[in-house]
Amino acid sequence: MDTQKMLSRRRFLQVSGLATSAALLAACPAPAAAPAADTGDSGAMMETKKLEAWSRMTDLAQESIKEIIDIYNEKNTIGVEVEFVYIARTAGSQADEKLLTAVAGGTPPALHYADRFTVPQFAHEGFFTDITDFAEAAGVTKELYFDFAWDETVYKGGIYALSFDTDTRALWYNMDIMDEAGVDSSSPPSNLDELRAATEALTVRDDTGAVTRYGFNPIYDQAWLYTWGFGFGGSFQDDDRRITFAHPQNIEAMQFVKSFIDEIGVEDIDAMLAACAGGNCRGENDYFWTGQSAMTCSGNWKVAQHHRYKPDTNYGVVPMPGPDGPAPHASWAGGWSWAVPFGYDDVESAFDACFYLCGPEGQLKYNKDTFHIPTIKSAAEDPFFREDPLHAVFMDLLPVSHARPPIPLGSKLWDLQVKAFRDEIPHGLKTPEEALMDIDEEINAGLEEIGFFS
Amino acid sequence: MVADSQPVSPQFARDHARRVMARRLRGLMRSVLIHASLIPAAFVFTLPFLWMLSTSLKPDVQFYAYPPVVIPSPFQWSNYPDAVKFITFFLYLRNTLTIAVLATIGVLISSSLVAYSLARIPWRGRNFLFILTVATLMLPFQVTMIPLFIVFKNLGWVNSWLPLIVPHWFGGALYIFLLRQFFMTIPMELSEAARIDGANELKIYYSIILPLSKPALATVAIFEFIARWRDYIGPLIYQSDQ
Amino acid sequence: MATATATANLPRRRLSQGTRHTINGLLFASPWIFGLLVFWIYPTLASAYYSFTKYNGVRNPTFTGLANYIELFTKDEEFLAAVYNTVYFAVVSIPLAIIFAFGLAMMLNAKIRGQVVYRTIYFLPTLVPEVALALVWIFIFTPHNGLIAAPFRAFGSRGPCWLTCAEWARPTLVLLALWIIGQQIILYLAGLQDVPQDLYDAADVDGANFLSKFRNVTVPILTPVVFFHLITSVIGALNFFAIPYIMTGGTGFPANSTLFYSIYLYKNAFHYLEMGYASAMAWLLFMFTLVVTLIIFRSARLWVFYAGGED
Repeated sequence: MDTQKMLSRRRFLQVSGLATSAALLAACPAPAAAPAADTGDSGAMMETKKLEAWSRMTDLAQESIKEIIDIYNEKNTIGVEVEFVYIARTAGSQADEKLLTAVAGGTPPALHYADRFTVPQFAHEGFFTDITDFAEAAGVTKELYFDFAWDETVYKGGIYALSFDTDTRALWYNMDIMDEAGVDSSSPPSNLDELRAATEALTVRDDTGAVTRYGFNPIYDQAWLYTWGFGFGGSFQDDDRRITFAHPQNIEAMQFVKSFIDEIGVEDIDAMLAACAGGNCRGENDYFWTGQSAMTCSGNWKVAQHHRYKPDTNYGVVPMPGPDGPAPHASWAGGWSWAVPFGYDDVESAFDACFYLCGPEGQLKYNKDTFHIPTIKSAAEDPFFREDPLHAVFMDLLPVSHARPPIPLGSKLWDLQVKAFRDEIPHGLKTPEEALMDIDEEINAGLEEIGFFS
Repeated sequence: MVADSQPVSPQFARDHARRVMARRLRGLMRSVLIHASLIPAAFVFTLPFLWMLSTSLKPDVQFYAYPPVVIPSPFQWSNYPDAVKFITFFLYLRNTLTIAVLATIGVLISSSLVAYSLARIPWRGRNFLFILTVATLMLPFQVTMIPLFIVFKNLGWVNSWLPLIVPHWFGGALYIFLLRQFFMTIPMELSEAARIDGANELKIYYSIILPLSKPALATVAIFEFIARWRDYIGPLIYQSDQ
Repeated sequence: MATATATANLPRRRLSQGTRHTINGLLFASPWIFGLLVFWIYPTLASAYYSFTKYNGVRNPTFTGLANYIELFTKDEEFLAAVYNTVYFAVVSIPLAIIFAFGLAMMLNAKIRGQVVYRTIYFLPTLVPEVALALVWIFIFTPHNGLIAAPFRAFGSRGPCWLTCAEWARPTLVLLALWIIGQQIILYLAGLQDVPQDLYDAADVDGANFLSKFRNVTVPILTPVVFFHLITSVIGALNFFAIPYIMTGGTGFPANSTLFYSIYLYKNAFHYLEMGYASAMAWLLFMFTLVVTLIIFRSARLWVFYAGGED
């Protein structure tokens, strides 16, 4: 027994030492999994009031937001100090467990960074504070903002968030790969037949038939159900605010996507999606930057990545191809916003900080730093946003871009459409028509139940 | 009597030698067999780590290179300081270790006391308490998270380390269960004898049961330490300051 | 009974032994009982109440009776898929985990060269947060350019589709879960330390071979550990969450084959803000687990051997 006392102190130390080194290794492929402890300056003066601003942004975006907050802390006249707090999420999750728990427990932060299309839902559920009075007193009006951005921050006539940035979607292509593959990079695909032909020409396979370089993946990156549906001239909400995924043009779009996937091979499409689960293809590991995908439907934020990761490779951007030629209207605008969580006592101070962040100064700095687009119309006219020719393409899409239907069941709808688009339709579990009708049925019933239409 | 004085016959000596040889051979065969099954399995078990290590040293373009790049070229040693800086790793490490050590000490003491009660003291209601203890493991954390947060808030513990440490000082259901299982394998006669000698329960607990349960106690210490170590969702939810 | 009469005759006894045992028992268990009262009672009762309400975590819950439970069983296809996947996972993975952990512990307990190295290696995966492990597995188990595809490619085959097709997704997850049995191995090793050497010596004298020693000495002595492992792995398997959640983003793709009970529960609670519905799911799971556990408890009398005696 003595000779093999397995858990001696020495052994325990060995194991602990290994625990440490293993965790060090683990930290590297998974930086997002470990919550970043805040090192921020804690030597604050007693008389300034501290406001926490929670955000899940990392990298460039986080740096920029912190700088804007520093400027605000210098300038503000109401004696508050905003502190940026990084909120890690469970990887791959759309949920904000930490915010929900804090609001439920009555200890919310002053400001929360919210994906704008979820604002109506959070407003409906009572997680955000109605800031209409403060906004009106500060001179915030609908006319200042792009319609789609404004609509997403308003629920039942009340303002629940101020929009911060927006983005549009188009087709990115790698000109160097095209030249090498003998595809004319000066005339990128302008309609769907050309897109299919280019995809075929740019795809490379190994002996087993597996794709080693994708020409284009029609259900990856920003090529979503919305993108294809809008591109085919479909719409997702009618005048009564009912969801209309089964709009004839959307069905047609999904029939096209299905046949496109079959042409490429659904197992190859799946392989790429599986590889990129858990955010494994974020940033530099994006197949588009590694040259493993020649084209992708994506947004203007890629301009910043282009400068950062691949300044020496030549890329081009054109509006998404549609059935009858270029379809700039395939683009839809997303973006983020800042809201005051429900239960935060000093709404006035919180709004003051929010208004600076989302006002012209905050928006201009953030959107220039990260290559997003201001939601304040006058700020978006800043010449900076047209200096980069690729970014200029995205600016041109702004007037024709759509928005996702702003409804209080945003998360449910998002999950359902992802399921239809990436699982049911590609794998033939449902026909496009069935899949889309099922979405309408479930969501409209849910909206009916909560009295959304009345 | 006779056997003692009888000299060993040569035949017996030869047989004995053959038996010893056979036993050695069997022993050798056995250890070869064990190695033969442990080595491939060990390779499979280390694979994620080797891959992690290799990936962590790769330039980013090689993450998903085709075919997979096994040995990074060039080695990107600079990935390490980058990652460390990004998540302020060492600060996190220090905090985690402090929490883990404090929680482990507390859970070890209280869980062994409770397990002693469940396994070694025959009192009415101990089976009910035992089943209740195991039952506490069954309700998913997701739905008790918010009410538990409210408990912590009412105690004034939000934004402190207390929620991550103090609850463990009242014992952990898993470890109470585990230690109970081990304590129950110790013959009851040992306790009975000590009781007759006038030892009280506390004395039996620390001078008989604990020394006989070192492997189990070490197991609990390791489990708890690692559980706290891996616990990322706790700090995420109950803390926003440090 | 015999001991009771014997001790009753001892002098200087003021309290009856039964009372003394009850007092001691409660005293020793008091930290835990106190902990249950403070940290467990309220969250448990609260979640039980929420399961009969419509509740989003913030607004006051509105009582809806059995509506959540009725909806789960009559309308919710994803719930049924999640139940199926979870039960499948539990039924397939638990016996495998017990066999593997027990077997590896036996081998790691043998006096062989490199014992320490082997033990360390098998324990390694349990040190890493499951989230990090899941991310590495995504890299490895990617059908075309993952490491796992390399040997298949050498034979000109694409290899299995792993998590990307419904037929392979569940078995793949069972396989991955076997990777983290290091803690169970430790547990069995600790149990093996407890086997008294004289039992083996006695068996040797009787001329018992390895197999009969294993069956008649090792296994009976380890049944309390197997019992612990069985119960905790039932609970663990029914709450399987982090690995599939990270590897599929919680989508349940393909064809709901990776949608596990606690993933669906989590989505209801935090994505869809249906805390009441999630609480109903949690309580169903709780009741189911409790029933399974109680059956195992009852069966324990037939197969678990305690040297310290039973009640």
